[in-house]
Amino acid sequence: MTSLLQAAALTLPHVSEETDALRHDVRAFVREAEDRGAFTPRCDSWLAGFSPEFSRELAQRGWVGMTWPATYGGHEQTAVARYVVVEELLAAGAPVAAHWIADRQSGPQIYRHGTESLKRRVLPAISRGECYFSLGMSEPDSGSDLASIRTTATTTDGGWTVSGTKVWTSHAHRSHFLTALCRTSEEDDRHAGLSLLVVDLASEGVAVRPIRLITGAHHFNEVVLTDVFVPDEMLIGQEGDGWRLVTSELALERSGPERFMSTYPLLEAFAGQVRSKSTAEQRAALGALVARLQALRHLSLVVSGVIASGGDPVVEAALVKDMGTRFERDVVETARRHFTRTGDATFARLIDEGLLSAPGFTLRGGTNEILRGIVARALVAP
Amino acid sequence: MTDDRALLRDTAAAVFSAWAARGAAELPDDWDEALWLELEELGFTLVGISEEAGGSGGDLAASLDVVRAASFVGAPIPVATSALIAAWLLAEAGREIPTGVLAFLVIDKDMCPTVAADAVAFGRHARHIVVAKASAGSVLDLACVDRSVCAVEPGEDIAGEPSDRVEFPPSSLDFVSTSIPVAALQARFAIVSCAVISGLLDGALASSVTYATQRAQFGRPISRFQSVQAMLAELAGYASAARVATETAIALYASPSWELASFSAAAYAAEAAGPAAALAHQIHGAIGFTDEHPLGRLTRRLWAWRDVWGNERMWAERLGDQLMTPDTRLWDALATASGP
Repeated sequence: MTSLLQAAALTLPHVSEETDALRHDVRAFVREAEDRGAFTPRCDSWLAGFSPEFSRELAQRGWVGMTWPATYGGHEQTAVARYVVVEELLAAGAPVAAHWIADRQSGPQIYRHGTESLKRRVLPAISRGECYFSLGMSEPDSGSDLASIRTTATTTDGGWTVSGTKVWTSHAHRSHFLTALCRTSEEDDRHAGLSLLVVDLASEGVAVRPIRLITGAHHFNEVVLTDVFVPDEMLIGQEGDGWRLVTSELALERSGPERFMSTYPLLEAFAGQVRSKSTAEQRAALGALVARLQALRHLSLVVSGVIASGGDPVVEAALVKDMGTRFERDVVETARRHFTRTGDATFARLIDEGLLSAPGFTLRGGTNEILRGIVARALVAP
Repeated sequence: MTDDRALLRDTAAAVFSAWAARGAAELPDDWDEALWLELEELGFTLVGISEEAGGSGGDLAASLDVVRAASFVGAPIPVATSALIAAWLLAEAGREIPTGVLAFLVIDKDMCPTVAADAVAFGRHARHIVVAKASAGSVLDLACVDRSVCAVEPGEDIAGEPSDRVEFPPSSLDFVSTSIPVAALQARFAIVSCAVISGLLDGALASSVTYATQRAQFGRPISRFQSVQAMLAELAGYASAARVATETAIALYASPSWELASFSAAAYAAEAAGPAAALAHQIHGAIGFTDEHPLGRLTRRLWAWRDVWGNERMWAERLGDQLMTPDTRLWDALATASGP
């Protein structure tokens, strides 16, 4: 059984005075940016709020690539400091989608396991807020069963030739790179023979087609790779490491505040409604949501502390994401039940944004059914 | 975690697991005097009270660790109310702490001087009853009454623990004013009930994991079924979050965010208790619903403690009331400089 699920062990990370000061700075900045019209707070801003300008502005302040060494353009900050920055941005509903995947996941993966030339090529650019990544995991016939993917990479002179189709690839039409899980050999163990390659989306043979959401919005894509050449230096880790690398980044992918704060701007607006005119019932509804949010925030912070100290809390991350994504949906349902839509256009818009993005909350990054299986198997493991 | 804290946790866990190991049929539901005396010997019945005040030392975290360990097995002893509420109040007021079980009661300020009170937890086993009432100025008046002068009519709560009617004779309630704010007692209620529920949830989770691993149907352990896994995971979520909420409140003790954190913890725990108990029973099947299995000891206490000093609705409303400062953002109250 893993430690955080046990009754005894639990350590809240220390939040230093520097981190408190950083929180204050980020908060002041995003409010100033909102006031000057740099963005309008929205639900699901980490996926739907794509703004290269805003990403660059954050990067100029040192809030992208925060934990990496200065050699690669990073700022050598702690994981807790990054956590604080990220939750402040999400609380504000700021448009952080452009750099989100690169900063959260692909950058750290490349920093740990990438070749030196790949690190030098992408990490400084990510830290400048200029280089964006998409994740190439799911395929038309491979969703939860990721090991069944069929995209292949075969060796060629100086690199790999990649062919296959990836789907649900957010922002592939405006990202620079795709980290693609590919089959590089056929093995008896289907988790073996997989490798992680960084594909330059400007390469010849890459075709990106939109898959529009129920609203018509475009962030999903189908990415068809036809004999795409990928140089050797773009392999992350070793050939055959793909499964291990992909599962090791799951803790980063699933434990962060974006897994329970996608509808936070609506919760803020709901609190505004409750403050202006409310019954005891409505104050209690707000209180109940806040109690859950606070529990999730601190659970997530504990997990980030474990990651920072070198642990790999995949199970706890699954737990956070399962609970958090259900919370995100409950925020929407509670808010709409307690106030009518009339009278406050912003409140009504945020409810609609929340509702229209909610089906994705419990699907993306691993369905809740898969997540619960991960948690339960860890609980009953001898 | 400090070494001292880990040592105390280990000691408490050892005492209570040895107690529980006697088996469900051997364990009393309503009171275990031998266990209480053992705890008294170990200093656990006055943990969290400074030695100068007559306690056995240790901080809030230490005292809540003992409470959680007792709750993990559903031990029928009033360590939460006696040590963490009644003795704490006396210590805060600078009063002497008498030996033996302390019961605790809050009365309406108009009920003095002659009162009869229902639902005094462990009233019949108490040597003294600490009575609190709010006075003008939102501070507490306290009386500490020798239980032997009171008439006690036995009752029981939903957990089967003593919940007695106590009649105080005229003039037995000798209230003395204190400087303890009513709000401090509210926050104390919140953190203590959250810690109790957290211990109970951890116990129910551990029992569920054991049962699902050992029980086989259709030729395999039921823990292999996806529907059972989903229930285990959901239960683990409630237990982990309640534990984190308790820890967070402890970390914020005496900070400006303390009240908010403790109300938040209590609201979360009280809300989790009901669905968690239902999940645990569903996982255990019929055996968990019998007195042959220890689960009932935990779930009955979950049902009792989620209502003890306010239910989930009342805690949520108290929390909501704290968030009504005009012209500020909600976020400013939630993510503060002082806290994790």
